[in-house]
Amino acid sequence: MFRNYFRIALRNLRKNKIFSFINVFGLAVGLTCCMLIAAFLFDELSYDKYPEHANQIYRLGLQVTQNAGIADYPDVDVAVGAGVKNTYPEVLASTRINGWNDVFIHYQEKQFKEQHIAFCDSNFLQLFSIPLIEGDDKTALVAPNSIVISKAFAKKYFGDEKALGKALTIGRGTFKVTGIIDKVPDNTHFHYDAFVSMTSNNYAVTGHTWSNIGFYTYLLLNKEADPKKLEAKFPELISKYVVPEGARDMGISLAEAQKGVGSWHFYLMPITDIHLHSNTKYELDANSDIQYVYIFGALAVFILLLACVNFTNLSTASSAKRSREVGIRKVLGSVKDQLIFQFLTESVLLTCCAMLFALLFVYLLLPSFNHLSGKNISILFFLNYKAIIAAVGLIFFVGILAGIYPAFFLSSFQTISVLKGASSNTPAKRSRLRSGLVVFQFMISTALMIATIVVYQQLHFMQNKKLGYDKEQVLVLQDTYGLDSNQYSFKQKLLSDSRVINATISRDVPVGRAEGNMDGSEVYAKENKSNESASEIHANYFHVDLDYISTLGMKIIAGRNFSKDFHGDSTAVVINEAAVRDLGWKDNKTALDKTIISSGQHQYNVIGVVQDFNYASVKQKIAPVMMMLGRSSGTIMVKMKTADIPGFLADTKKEWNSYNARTPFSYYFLDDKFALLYKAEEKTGQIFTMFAGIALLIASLGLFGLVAFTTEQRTKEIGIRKVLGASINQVLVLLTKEFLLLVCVAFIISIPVTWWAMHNWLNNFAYRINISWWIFLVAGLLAMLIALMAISFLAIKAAVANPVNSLRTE
Amino acid sequence: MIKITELEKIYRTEEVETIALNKLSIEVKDGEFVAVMGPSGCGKSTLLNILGLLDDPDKGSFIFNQIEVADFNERRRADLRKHNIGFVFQSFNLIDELTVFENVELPLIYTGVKSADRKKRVEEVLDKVQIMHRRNHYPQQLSGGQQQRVAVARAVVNKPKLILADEPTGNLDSHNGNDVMQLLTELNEQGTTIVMVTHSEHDAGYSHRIIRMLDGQTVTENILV
Ligand SMILES: Nc1ncnc2c1ncn2[C@@H]1O[C@H](COP(=O)(O)OP(=O)(O)O)[C@@H](O)[C@H]1O
Ligand SMILES: [Mg+2]
Repeated sequence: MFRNYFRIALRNLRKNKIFSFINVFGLAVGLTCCMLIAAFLFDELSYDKYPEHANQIYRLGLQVTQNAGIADYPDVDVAVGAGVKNTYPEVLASTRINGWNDVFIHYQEKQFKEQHIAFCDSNFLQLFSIPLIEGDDKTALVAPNSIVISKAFAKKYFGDEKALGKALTIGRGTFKVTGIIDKVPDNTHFHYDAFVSMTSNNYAVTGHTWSNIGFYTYLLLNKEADPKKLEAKFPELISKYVVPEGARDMGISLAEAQKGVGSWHFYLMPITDIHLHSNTKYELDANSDIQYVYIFGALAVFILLLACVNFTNLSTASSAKRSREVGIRKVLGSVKDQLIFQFLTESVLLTCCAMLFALLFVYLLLPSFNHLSGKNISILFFLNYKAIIAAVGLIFFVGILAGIYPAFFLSSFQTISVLKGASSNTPAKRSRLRSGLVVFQFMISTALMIATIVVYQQLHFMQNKKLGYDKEQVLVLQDTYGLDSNQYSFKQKLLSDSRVINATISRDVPVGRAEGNMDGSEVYAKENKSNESASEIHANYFHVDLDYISTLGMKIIAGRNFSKDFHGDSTAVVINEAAVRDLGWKDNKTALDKTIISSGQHQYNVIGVVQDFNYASVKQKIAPVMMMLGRSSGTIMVKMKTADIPGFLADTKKEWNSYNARTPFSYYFLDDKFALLYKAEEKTGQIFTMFAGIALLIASLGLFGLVAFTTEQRTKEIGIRKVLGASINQVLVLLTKEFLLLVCVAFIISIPVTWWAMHNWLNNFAYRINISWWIFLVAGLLAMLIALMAISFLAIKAAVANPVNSLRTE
Repeated sequence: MIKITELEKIYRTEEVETIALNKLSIEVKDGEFVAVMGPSGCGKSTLLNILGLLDDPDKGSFIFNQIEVADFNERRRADLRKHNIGFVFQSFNLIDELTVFENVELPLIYTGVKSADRKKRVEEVLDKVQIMHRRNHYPQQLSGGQQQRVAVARAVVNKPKLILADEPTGNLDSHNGNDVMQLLTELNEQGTTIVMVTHSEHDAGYSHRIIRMLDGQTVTENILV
């Protein structure tokens, strides 16, 4: 019995080549997407689940409610972790980590700049179950000036020499390698190559404050402990530690201080939630977002559904061909259930076939997929037994999903009428379901196309937005503090070069600044002193020199720039338009000569207003800026005017080397850094393009198949019509009208859906495009055009055929 | 009305070359009723297709209504055809998806007749072939004889000068066959020229003249009236 089904299935596959191809290929594409996305999602959901006690580890964060909303910090002050642990017995351990950015490390003559090293408490690695492959887990990070490094890191500095016990020079200190780890797992919310003992940082040992931030602190709770109940007890710690501290620092009474911190809230976040649910400005590593998990999951399901739809559509469309077989089987005693089973066997077999191709596709596409998604998924992921069970499950699921309707449809044919040769699909009821499914397919495709266009438009908009400064031909020299006091003469030297228009020394490069690593303070306008708390705003400080504004081509729109002719400029500030507005001054002129007071009670005198410039991402509104002179070195930005950049670089490097700097010559271009800003959106754009393409491909294939069937079914009709005088155009209209109408309907339905979705997406951006009507039009026309191509190929063939031939076959 | 001289039609497939019409010459006068007979494969249908401007000859001359049409392109042939020629086939060739009324209406649509006119004319012919009561049925719901009457109605609805019928009774029993022959005769009496292919001597008896064919050539012609 089964073998008979199997044979018939294979023969049918072979007999209907186009449809087998469309079905197998479509399903294979769908399954490929599905599997790749599943691997992606699996990885996303696996973050921070590997520590032995992952479910008992929580990150301690701080939320402060302010005028402008809730400030969310994933880190707390130096003493908080230990304080919490000592107060509550259900907290078994606490551990801290904080990054140590941009440090130069050397070993003998080798020197590298490191972005990924951190201080951490001695129990940190143990808590996160990151084992040492050399050294002692318990003691490695206890002593000051110890460092635990990854294998790759060891290789970089020591080559094949044994790393354990060697000494690395970091800044002015010497650190002994006391342990080697393999590496920090990829699916972790932090990524460091080396861990320095927290005890090396004197402040971390002696500090006892509670009201700052800076230490990422994790707590291991007792198995039975309820994090919510623990959180509820934290306000008592605030009264006990934070309030007295505030009172002392600001010189106010305890009651006042208590009022001040009324909005403080220490909270616990399970570490397993961090990657997908934590989106503060100060994460240790860029996190993902649960939204993407949903979006990608939905896309995978949709693409698979589209492929299933093709199967359903083509099978029911071609049912007439199978109807004789059904009739005969029924006469021979087959019952409906057996027939359903037979047809389901067929669709499962077909899916099986598709799965084999899909595995091949996955194998071929995995490298590009990893590149696109930034993941490191290995083909082995698809070959472990769980994945194989899942794949088999998927085959059955998809096979049955795709085949269930055709199976019922086919098996319910009436024996007599089928054998009598009467056409099974009574003309009056052309399959509504089929039309509906085509609409569904094209709706998804069009929606994805619209989304793609919107994403790219926004990207283009961001990349070309007027920034308020000129990023072209600006060379950024890094680590110029290595020149020590020669920094200024180096700058002068640069200025004497005819290829240099201007240069400025300032650490505050105006591209892609994250709130987290900018200097700044709460400030208010002096005349609002009486109402300090209400009028307080946060301003970011830019420490600049006299040439900063002119080097970067920023515009002073009121008042003046800093000048060496004015001696009082040490307390002078130039503020941006956002600061003028937020501090409550009615226009730029009004702001001049006003005084701003910072939370440290410093007073600044406003001498000028600079036009707003985008120093963060355009996702965020430009926030208030105060520029002040001095106190910032480490980066020199050079505005060049030369066609021969390599030549200029070579000369500059030579000059640098003649100064005997402590740091190596290193540089980047401002516009390159700018280009990196919108990587995420570019990726989103690429992903949407890919999915839109796939969806459209599958939908068009399906349409092609359907047209193939209808034209085949209608050859006789077309012949008759032509004999009766129909022109080729009339026949073409007849054949395509219905399908184009479906695509049109799909387009119309997709408009509100995508408008809503993309509107929401755009809300992520402070500066954004308006969704204009032509985007829809373009996507609609494109879908129509592609559908038309799929349809017309066969329709034209059918329309120009000589009717004599189609009628002769009778 | 029709004059063909030395007409040739050759079908070439990869292996064989079939001479379907071999220097065939025939003349049909206005108002004539001609039967074409001959064994299967002798080229009767091919002849009818060419006469019906569905296919073009490879060689020879074909004068239709005093116009040489052998070298007409497809568009001109189609144009001439839809105004002048009606077809009746052995297998009826009705469109399953359309009702009786819609089937008959089709030629009028393609010649651009207005909808009100169409309704009148379709009802007229349906009445004539006595199928008016079935106007909203689909072809499968009719008997063979009824279907062929619908096909005849469709062939004449445009008032063509020429009707080409390829074995119109081939799929019918004798009773229904006679009905159809009766219809054709009536049409002929009203002035329509008819060329009919048939295997039945009985049916050929309705015509004025029988052309007998063999291997793409005429062998004999019997004049009956
Ligand atoms: N489209 C075609 N391709 C090839 N051979 C054809 C074609 N149409 C007809 N023939 C051949 O031409 C000959 C005449 O066919 P036809 O006119 O249909 O014969 P009849 O109608 O007299 O039975 C036959 O041998 C047939 O096989
Ligand atoms: Mg024939």
